[in-house]
Amino acid sequence: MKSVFKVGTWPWLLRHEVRLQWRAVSGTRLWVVGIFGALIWLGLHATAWLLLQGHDAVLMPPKVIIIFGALTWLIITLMFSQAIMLSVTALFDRGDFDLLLASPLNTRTVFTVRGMGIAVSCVMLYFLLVTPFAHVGVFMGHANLLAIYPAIISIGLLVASVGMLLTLTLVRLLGARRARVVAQLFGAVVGAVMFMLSQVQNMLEHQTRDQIAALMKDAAEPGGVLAPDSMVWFPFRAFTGEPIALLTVVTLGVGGFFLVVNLTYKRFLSGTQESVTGSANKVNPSSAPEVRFQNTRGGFIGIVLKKEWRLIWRDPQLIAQTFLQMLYLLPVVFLVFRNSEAVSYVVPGAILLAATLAGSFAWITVAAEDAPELIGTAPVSLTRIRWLKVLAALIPVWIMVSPILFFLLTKNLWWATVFLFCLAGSTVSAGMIQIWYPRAGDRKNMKKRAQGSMLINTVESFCAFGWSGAAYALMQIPSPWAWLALVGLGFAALGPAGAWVLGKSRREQGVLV
Amino acid sequence: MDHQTAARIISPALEIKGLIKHFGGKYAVDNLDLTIPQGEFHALLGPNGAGKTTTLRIVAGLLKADAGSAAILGHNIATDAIAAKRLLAFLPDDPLLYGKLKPLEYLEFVAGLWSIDGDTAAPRAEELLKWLDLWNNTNELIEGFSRGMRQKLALAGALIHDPHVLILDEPLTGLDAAAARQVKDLLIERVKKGNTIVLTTHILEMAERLAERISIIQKGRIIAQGSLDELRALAASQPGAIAGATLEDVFLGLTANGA
Repeated sequence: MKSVFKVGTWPWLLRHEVRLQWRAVSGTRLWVVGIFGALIWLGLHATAWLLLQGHDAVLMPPKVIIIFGALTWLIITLMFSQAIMLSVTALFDRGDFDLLLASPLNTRTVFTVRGMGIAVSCVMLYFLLVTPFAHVGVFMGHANLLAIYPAIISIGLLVASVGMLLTLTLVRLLGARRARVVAQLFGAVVGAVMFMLSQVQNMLEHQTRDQIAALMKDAAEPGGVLAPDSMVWFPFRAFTGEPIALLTVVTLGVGGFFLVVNLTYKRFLSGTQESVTGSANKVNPSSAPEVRFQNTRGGFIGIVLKKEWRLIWRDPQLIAQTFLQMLYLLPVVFLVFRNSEAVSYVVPGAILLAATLAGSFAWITVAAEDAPELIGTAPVSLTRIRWLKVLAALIPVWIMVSPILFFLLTKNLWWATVFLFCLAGSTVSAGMIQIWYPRAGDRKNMKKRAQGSMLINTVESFCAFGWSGAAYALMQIPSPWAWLALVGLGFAALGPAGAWVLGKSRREQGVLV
Repeated sequence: MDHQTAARIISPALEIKGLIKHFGGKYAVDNLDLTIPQGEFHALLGPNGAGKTTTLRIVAGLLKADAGSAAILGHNIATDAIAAKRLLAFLPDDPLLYGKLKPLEYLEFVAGLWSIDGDTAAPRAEELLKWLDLWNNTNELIEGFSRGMRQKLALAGALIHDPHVLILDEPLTGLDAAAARQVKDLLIERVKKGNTIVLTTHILEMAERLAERISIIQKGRIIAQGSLDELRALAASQPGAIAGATLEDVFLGLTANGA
């Protein structure tokens, strides 16, 4: 084992790459991730055993090929969006190329291994998902399923090489900063499209759904684009060990990877890296603006709101992460307009979503303050600034859910009142939690905000669910069960109260943000 | 003349009495006393971990002291924080700025925090950005700035509200020679105008050339204080002293044995 990872060899460098990527995912809780991962992996073996029992893994029915073939493409799409993000990080953000390229290692090896690291990171999750089928398959006499190994590795290499090629082209054309934004947006859009596709059932009219189904059926007939023997399903058929499909996928994957690496590494070393530093500081002296500041005597609120909204608006990654949550509201909205009886479920759902969004935005504006020292030294009450920051967080949420309020106003005044009361309560509570439990965060790590104090995250959830439950119960008035709203409100009160108690020492220590 | 203005005229720019701050069991600031009169350029020197930054952060209202007090022109930073902060600017050694704002937007926000009227702040911002060679970068986001450019912008932010007392923690970090000269000239000009400057620095030559008085801090206490000549005289009284010593000799001599 030691000789495989001999210092300076490509396996040694690849191990270094994988370790860095792994640490980025698992953080310091390595053993927790390891134990959970192992348990899930064992569970997947059991699932594979159940699925393969009594089925022929060589001659599959056409329907199975089409369904799993489509699932394979879904996985490839997700891997691709991940590959682009990983390429941006691995090639431009990590900043260790100077060290590696200054070392006596072969530069082509360095670049190739970086690509392999991207492929390993893209494929790892899906590798763990599909390889149990190979193991169980061999045990059950389906040796052809061992093809899963070369197939998934080749798909990973192909996806990584296309991702790298696209990233390098974007960086060449747009510069590193803009390319990063495009990559982030692409990842978000892929996630959004996947979700929307999963909700087609709820969002389309019966007639449209039937038309699409008929079209798909035609395409899946023999000789059609989506027929089971079509090349479209080669990636899945490669998993089943079909020789031509497997050979094609392996050739494309391995060949494509080394082709891309050989074509791009010299250009990357000679030119693309320069764009990382060169693009940021382009100067246009003639376009220096006329200096006109807002008159701050009467406009302090405006100054703070403007600053917070600018910072959010100019951070596409943040917008993508946060607004993706809004997307989950869309099927709910479709449900309301198609079935007014569903309102009693939709209102609590919208309250839950608004509370979650308000919590995220308030965390961004209050906890993830970029310049806490500036705020701390300013001659303004810290409490006032924090409340203004919360206001900056809540206004967009209120605007976003306002169509639901207007819709309810046309239907039922009591429902509209309940919605307004619970919306105000849940969003303001989300803000109170951020103020009364001060914590410092980094807006770049918004995804990791849930990894903070488990206790405060729990009371935050209790609060959101409490308001949501209270909304549902209040809408049932005059039902005898409507008193349960008080239970919901009790849970809701746990949020601010919990933050007040848990954050006492932090407030006394004078945590800045 | 109101009572507050009168108090401000006769009060020292900075008055620290019996300041104590500990983290866990370790004292970062240990019963520190320091008085700096108005209009003085004062350098706070000390080895790493001596308590300089902790002291300055307490004075700026960023940390709470465990005991003792700090007052800016007579306003206690703990009990009369808003009034004290109005007269003060603090520049940390690694200033955090808003990456997604442009320089003028940043200065507009800072001016807003100090309630400076937009009509007053706008020309001042233009003047500062031109002075600090950042005027050509006004259309760029701060996230693309180099370390030196960020440091200069943070300094512009500290000066936009025309503070009476400027507290600077390692203000020349990351600046090239030309920018460092610009900043030094700017600071000298502020002192000439009657402002008070308190700075920490590891560049002893800067303290030697600019500071009227120097305090040397070690293990959270002031171990020596005075003009360069006074410190030389003090160092000369130590065993193994060097005749005609530079500030570096004096500093190393005093901190080596804890005076």
